[in-house]
Amino acid sequence: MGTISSLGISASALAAQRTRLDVIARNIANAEVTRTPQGGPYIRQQVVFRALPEGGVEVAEVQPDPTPPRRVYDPGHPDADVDGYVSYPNVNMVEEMVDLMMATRAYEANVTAMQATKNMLHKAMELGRA
Amino acid sequence: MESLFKDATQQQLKAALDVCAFRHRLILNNIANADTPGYKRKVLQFEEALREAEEKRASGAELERFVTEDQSPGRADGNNVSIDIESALLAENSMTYEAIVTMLSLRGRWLGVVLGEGGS
Repeated sequence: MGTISSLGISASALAAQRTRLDVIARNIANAEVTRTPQGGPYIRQQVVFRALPEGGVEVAEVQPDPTPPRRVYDPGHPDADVDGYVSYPNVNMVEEMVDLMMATRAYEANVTAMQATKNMLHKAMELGRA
Repeated sequence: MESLFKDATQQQLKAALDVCAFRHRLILNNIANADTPGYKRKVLQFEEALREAEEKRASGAELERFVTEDQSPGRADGNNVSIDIESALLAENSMTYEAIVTMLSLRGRWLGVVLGEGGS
């Protein structure tokens, strides 16, 4: 850990958590999508964070979730296969909502941390007025 | 003889301020990495770091030696940061910091009184 500023550490975390929120929003929005440009149902995405050596955090990659798609029996659906099953995205709404809450909470914790840093800097400036 | 402007208490307060600022960065980094797989929370050996800062005027990166990793297993992804614990530590640490700054500025004011031969 070295040169990055205290506010920079928290700012990097805010950016990373915001990317995570974007990905969760995309997952929720595409939870029922059975057709994608690549073919097949939408595949759930997840972010992986990495600690930066100089302090702070970044999004290392956005990975597809390898769990198989959800199979629902619906022979009338235009995307049903020969057995009458439709492959829906492997998005679990409950899981996404929990993830959303965790990301929001982490975001808020970093905002609070940033506020604490600002208060400390303001307080330190009092020394000049002594 | 001790200088009026650089007495032992003044040096100790400045050392404590440096150590507090350093610990603040560690806690920020722990909070920032609360969801990083495999990240272990970093802890400062506060008393040892303070002694070093007082004796050798060490600050910033020189205090890196007193940082240890908490090796407790934590969650399934290997991360052992608890946002709640870190937030509490952050609040405690910034209050300590502000208390030290208050002490320093009070001493500055007293010094002004002394230099003005008791004010009046």
